[in-house]
Amino acid sequence: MPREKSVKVKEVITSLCKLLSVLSVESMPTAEAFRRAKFNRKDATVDMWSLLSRLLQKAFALDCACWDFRDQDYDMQLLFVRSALCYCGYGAPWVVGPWPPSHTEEVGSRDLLLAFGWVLSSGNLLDFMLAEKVHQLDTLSSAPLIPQGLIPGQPDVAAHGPGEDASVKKDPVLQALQWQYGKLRLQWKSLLSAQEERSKFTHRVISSISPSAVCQPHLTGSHYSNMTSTALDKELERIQSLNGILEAYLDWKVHEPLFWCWMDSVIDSSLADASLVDPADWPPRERAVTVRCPHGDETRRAVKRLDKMLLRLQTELRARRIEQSTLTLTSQVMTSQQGGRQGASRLSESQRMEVEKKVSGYLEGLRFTNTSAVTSRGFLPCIQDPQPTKPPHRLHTGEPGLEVTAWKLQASTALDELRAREAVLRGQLERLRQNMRVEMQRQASTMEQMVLIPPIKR
Amino acid sequence: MKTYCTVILSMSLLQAVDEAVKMCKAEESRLAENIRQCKEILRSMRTRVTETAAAVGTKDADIQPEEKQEIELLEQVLKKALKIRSTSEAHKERHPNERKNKALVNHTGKEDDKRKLVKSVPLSETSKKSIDQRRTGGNVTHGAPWTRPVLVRKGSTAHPVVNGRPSVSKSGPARISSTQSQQKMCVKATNAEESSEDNSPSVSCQEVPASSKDGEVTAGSVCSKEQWMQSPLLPAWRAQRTKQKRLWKKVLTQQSKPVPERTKFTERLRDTFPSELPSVCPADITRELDVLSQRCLDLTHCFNAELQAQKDSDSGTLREREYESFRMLEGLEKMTAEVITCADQQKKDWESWDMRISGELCPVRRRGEWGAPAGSCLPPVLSYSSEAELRELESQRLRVQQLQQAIHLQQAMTDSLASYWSSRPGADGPSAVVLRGLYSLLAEGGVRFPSLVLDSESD
Repeated sequence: MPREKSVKVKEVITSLCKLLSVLSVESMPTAEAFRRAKFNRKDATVDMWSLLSRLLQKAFALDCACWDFRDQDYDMQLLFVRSALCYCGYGAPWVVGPWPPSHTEEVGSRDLLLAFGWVLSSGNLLDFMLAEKVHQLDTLSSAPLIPQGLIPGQPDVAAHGPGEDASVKKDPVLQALQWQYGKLRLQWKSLLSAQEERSKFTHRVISSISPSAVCQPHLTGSHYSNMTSTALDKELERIQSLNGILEAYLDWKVHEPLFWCWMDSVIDSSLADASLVDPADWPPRERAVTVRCPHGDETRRAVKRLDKMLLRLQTELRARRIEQSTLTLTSQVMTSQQGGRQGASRLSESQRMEVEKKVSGYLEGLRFTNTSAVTSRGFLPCIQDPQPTKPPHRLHTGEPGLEVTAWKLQASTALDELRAREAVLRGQLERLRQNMRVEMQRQASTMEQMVLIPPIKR
Repeated sequence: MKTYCTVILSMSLLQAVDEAVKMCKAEESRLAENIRQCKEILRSMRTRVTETAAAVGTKDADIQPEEKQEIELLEQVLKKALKIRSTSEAHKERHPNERKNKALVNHTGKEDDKRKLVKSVPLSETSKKSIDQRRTGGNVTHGAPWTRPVLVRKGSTAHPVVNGRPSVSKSGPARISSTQSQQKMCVKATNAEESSEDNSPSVSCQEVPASSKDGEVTAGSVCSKEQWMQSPLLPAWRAQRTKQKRLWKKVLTQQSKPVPERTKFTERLRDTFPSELPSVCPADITRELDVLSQRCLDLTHCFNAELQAQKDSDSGTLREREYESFRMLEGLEKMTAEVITCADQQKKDWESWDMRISGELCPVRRRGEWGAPAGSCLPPVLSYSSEAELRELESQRLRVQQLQQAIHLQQAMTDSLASYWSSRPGADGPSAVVLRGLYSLLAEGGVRFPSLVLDSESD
């Protein structure tokens, strides 16, 4: 029975190793190394260490410039691994503990194995790596636009706050800004047109997948017989390797439950050993000279900034509300004194409703724009069958039928959502700009010797 | 000191715009690369047949003596056919011809040996002429490079000949078996119409090496008209693509199923951690903080806008306006309160972690959105019905991104450039040029410029 089980375990671990290696984690250790790590053997440490380090490099990026991944600096590598593990919530003593190890040898292979298990189980890292591979290998897939890339890190920029004293000698900076902004607008235009062209070609390639399609003879131009087959060759190779990856993933999914059961047993054995060694028995090491990162308190600062902003906002809102309520009170008093000559001082019910709807619509929009769009993960386009065999599944805004909605997306639904989003965003942007217009016109009117004429609205 | 600060903050704004430009460029080059790949794939779905012609040339040299008689026979036959063809072309219209040709095509398409015969015929000068005729006569629907529809019509004239000479058919197979098998494979993969198209190009290409023993050279010079056949890789590619689609759907359905053993392992492992550590991980906390900061900024700007609007109509004649601003502020306050509670929670969680780490670890960031096991990061399959829809969807996606970026930049610019004109009693206002630039950036998105009339002092 144990023999059978160990064979099964080996099979399971091999399936995981195979999946990880097709997902470009280089030089995976063997299943045997995993099993040795379970028993905390020293000879498995190196393997486990390099596996963990490589996997974490795929999963995390360093925000500070402490360590270049290519360096052979083991101490920095240890720091990176600890930081990464801590950031994904791993709270083992050697990561967050009061006596962090200063050298990689101090960490046992079983601890490394458990950390590895944590990384895989606590998030969906494997899915992410799979998605990355899909977007890389499939020419037709529409990858998610670089996250956070097209949108500059906002809090950093604005959080410095407005300067107190501005010198007017900042013309060059303003000019540079104008120039850059113009460049950005131009860049967007060319990006949009490139996207249109790409969609066109994607559609053509997709339509030639179905066997009934006659190859569209729209391409004019050169026809060199030497290179004609190589592009299709390469594409075929890519798709074949992608299919290999998908098959490895599906194979892993079959074996997954067993792997986690085995990992459970690793926890058991680790607890069993730990009970033998009392932490109090450890010699009280002095805080070893571990490498520290100078940028470690970045988040602390971010928290403080956020606090400050929120507090300010809250106080201003409150102040405004009090001001407003006193104003309305006084005006009401006045109108009642003057016999209500301002006419209908009460709003009708329908007017109220209208205003409320408008306001709530706007505020909902604010909430809406912070959530991710339905297309934020990218997608794999495919032509809809003209005669669907099943009734098309509708994409609901709620959660019912998550299984259905997770994998199928109708272009029309996605379009609707995106259009709604665009409308909200446009409204928001327009409101901000209008605000600026009014403000600047007022400022300009206070300045002598200058008259500001705003451009004509078209 | 103060000016240094403002320079710094202006610089970071400039850097932000710089970064945005760089990202756009990177995205564009990625798209360009993708377009190039798609073009090449589309192009390589068809291969030129000159290879087959070359192959044939070498074989022809060996077996020519045997076939010479048949060659001559067929040449005559084709000459006749061409004569008939050219006369009939003058009289009939295109459509009746097409129909007739199609019928012929279907007829001959069914018969294998006849196809072989057509392939095996090496035509000499007569067919050279016929090519010329085809070239001139067949301008039809497509531009110069594409002769496929032309060849359908013209090529089929060869077929009636076939009917009359079944005896010649047996000579066919031996000679061009290698190329033939390749062509046959493609031929079988497509429908009858296309197969006839494939036949005719091979006919015209093969003729030349037979007549002159040079092979490739003449083939190249005469067959300057593109003869295309489907790449042999195409069916394999199609099969792989359909397989991919199937596998992906399977992956997506599998992925949504929960794995209880996994959650059990996670929980058990979490139990071994020190108890004061919260269950949220720092990466999630930082991400949530970013979201909250952004929301706070949005609310602040919305509030400022509201204040502006109030100042505008502070005469208060419109009760609706008052009510609206009242409701708006109320809503804003409520949302701020929500944000504050969330932020407090995140702060508490962060502090529990921070106590342990005490700032000695590097700040890291998840490379993608792989955090929550609940949410999926696998791209779904998008089914669209027309090219226009796909195009619209993808552009719409980009436009939404662009708008988000524009809003962020607008907020950043407002905050940092507000210093230019904030009320400083006694100080000089910004110069005309600066004001103009500011107005266009902040109020018009850099698209339009205001006009400034300066009242210069006249001495």
